[in-house]
Amino acid sequence: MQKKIMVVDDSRFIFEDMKHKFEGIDDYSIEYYCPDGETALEKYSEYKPDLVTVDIVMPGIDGFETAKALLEKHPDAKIVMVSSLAFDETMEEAKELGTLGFIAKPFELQEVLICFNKIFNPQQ
Amino acid sequence: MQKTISEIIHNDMLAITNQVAGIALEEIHPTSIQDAYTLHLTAKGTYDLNLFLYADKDTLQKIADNMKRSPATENEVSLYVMEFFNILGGRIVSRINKLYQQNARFAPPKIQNCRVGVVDSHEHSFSLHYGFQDGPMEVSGDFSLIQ
Repeated sequence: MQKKIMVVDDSRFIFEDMKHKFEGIDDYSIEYYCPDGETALEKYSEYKPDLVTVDIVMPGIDGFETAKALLEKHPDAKIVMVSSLAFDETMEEAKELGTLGFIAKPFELQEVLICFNKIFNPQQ
Repeated sequence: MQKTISEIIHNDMLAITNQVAGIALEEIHPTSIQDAYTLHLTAKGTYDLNLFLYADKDTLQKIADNMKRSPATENEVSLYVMEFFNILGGRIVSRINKLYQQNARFAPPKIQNCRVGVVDSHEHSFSLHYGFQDGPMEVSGDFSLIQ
């Protein structure tokens, strides 16, 4: 069954770019866009995405706060952090929060697919 | 260290401009950019980095059009180029952090419709000039370790 992805990022370019890259990939649909953490928290229950990508640096509540709040309310949420800042400690902080992956911008389709597939098919 | 910082910025400038905006830059002789816009970010932590990107309106329009994959409106241009510069800045800062085992972060970059930022002659200042068919670009700034 096709997995629906929600993209949380203050830059709509990331959502559009991901949508473009995922054209023709049947397993996933880049379906929902939230421009900030507050919208993501508000819309999560309505959209019920299979996975959420969350940008770290955003105005308002940042990505880490967003992920933390999402997981508190929806412990089964599958979250992948996204950032142009790919520090070891940033990735470590993301992991400690309970998120399931980290994608550095700019990303290529293959690395995003590997990340998503690992989450949905961990045995493979 | 200065040479390495310049090399990091140069390599990332070429890679990110190509990967994000689909533009293949070439190094050119220093040239004055008419009616330049400035994108600026500052990274602070165990080092300070000032990064300025200068480009004219046509160049920024091209970057935005390529990122959007269709013509960008005037409002959209600044949003797209800010994200472009955000990605470039993040890549540069990440690489410097890793290479020198340092730690710095930056706030969202700013854009201005004029040339700003005077780079004083500084031990670790840099100025890199690029061109492609739509216009020139310049990346300048300075770097200093906090003792």
